[in-house]
Amino acid sequence: MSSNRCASALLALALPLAGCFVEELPEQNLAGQVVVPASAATDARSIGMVYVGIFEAWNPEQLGYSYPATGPRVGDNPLGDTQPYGGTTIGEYAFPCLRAIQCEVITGRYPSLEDLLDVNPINTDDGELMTEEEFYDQCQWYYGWNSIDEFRFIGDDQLDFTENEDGDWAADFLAWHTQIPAGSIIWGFADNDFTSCSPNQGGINRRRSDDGQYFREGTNFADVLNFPDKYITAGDLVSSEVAVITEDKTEGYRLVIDEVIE
Amino acid sequence: MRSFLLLSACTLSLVGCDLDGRELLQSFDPETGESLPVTVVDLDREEDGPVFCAEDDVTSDSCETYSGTLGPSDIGTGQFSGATFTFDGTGGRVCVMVDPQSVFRDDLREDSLGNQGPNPYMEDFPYDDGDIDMLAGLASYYTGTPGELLGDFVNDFVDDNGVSRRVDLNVCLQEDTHGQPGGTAGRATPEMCAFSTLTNTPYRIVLNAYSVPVDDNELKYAFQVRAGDCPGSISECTLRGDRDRAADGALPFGADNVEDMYCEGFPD
Repeated sequence: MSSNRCASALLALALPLAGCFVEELPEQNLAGQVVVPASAATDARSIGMVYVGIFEAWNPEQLGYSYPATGPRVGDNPLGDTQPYGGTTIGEYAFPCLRAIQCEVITGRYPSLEDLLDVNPINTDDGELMTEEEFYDQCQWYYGWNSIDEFRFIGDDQLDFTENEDGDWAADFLAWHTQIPAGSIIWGFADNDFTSCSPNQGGINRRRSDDGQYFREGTNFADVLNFPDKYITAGDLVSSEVAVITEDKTEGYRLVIDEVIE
Repeated sequence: MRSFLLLSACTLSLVGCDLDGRELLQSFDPETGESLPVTVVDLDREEDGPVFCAEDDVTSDSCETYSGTLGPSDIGTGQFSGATFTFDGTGGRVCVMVDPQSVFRDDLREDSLGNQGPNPYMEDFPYDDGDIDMLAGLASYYTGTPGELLGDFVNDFVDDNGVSRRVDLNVCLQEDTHGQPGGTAGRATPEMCAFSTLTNTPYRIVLNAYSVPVDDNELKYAFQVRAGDCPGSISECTLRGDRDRAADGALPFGADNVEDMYCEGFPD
């Protein structure tokens, strides 16, 4: 057998082996659904960024409302770190083309420009309400978008929450690569007043006005799942109950975010 | 003959590849051609080591500032030079401040009101600057060995679900530019943090030599631990002593170090 043939044979043997390699990582994807009762949110557009975390345990007594168990208080933090195994969000902060409503627009909430401006009215320099055309032009200038299909925070097909048969708002979630030991819990909250958005973080403005001003587009703080209490304020929603992870189950979980913080 | 010329050309070109990458390391000593060892100082065993500044001394503004020297770290292997200092908690707040060598911008000066302005007689010299990062926590959580090996306050535990976890129990939390804990000051810039302590419980401060001045592989620093909260802001001039003595005549107006030039200025 020539050396070429030998190499080909070895390669042919090695290729199928690649498919047999199991890393046995403890992290897995976790899928489920978040439900926000209609009694807690009459309009899906008003549901803020929803944070879903997988935590070691639940401690509804610590703060007087449903909350994950925490580690020891370290330094000046008012509460210990929840030390989540992992988590995800439903929607994310999107820079809405102008700073007037920065940190107030979440992806997956608005089917149309009209809906966005209905919830977030913007006054122009003339004291008039900004029209859809003006807003479109602003986004065209800022992002270079030339079609409404390019708007990353507008579109019927991009909505996270849909009305289920009970008249409540339901959205699927997928938490990538998280540890999910049996007995751990899924807990979440909706930040309806955008406290978790930092206007001084996120991408640098991609277009500048004539004044050449530099700013950040805004994004969520990095420690929201570690210290949710820093960002939970009146009007936000938390899940009054938690979903408990069971052995070998990685999907089909349901979390109801229903408790309104007073 | 052609082959000989070709081989010679190849050999000659390889001479250009004979670079010593160690020269890029902060631990490389250009005088001896050797790599300097990592050094860990136990300040608790120093004869004239730092002293905890009690509340009365803070009130009377008579806290003593300790000046020390650290060697280079071996960043590649994760071995850091540094120092540790242990004190007993007071039951109240404690402030820790460290100022690494020497002045971030030698071509600036600070006036008596604390404002920065240009120093027309100086040029910036970045090669005498270093960086120290600071940690603190309960001494019982410290993972290093004072005088032997630098550690931190990151500990392992197994949670109720049987998952092995890591928890960072460093209580010296400094905010970054976004107000988030976990920031550190950069080159030649002082750091400070304050935290609550338990009475008569040992706490340990860790000074981590992140980078040393490349001009002499030695990092001077000024250090103070005091009762109470830290000042609202600190500057290069809050702690003094984090500098080398300059060669005679190297600085204008007879000054013998850049820190004095920055903090005390020069005759008009």
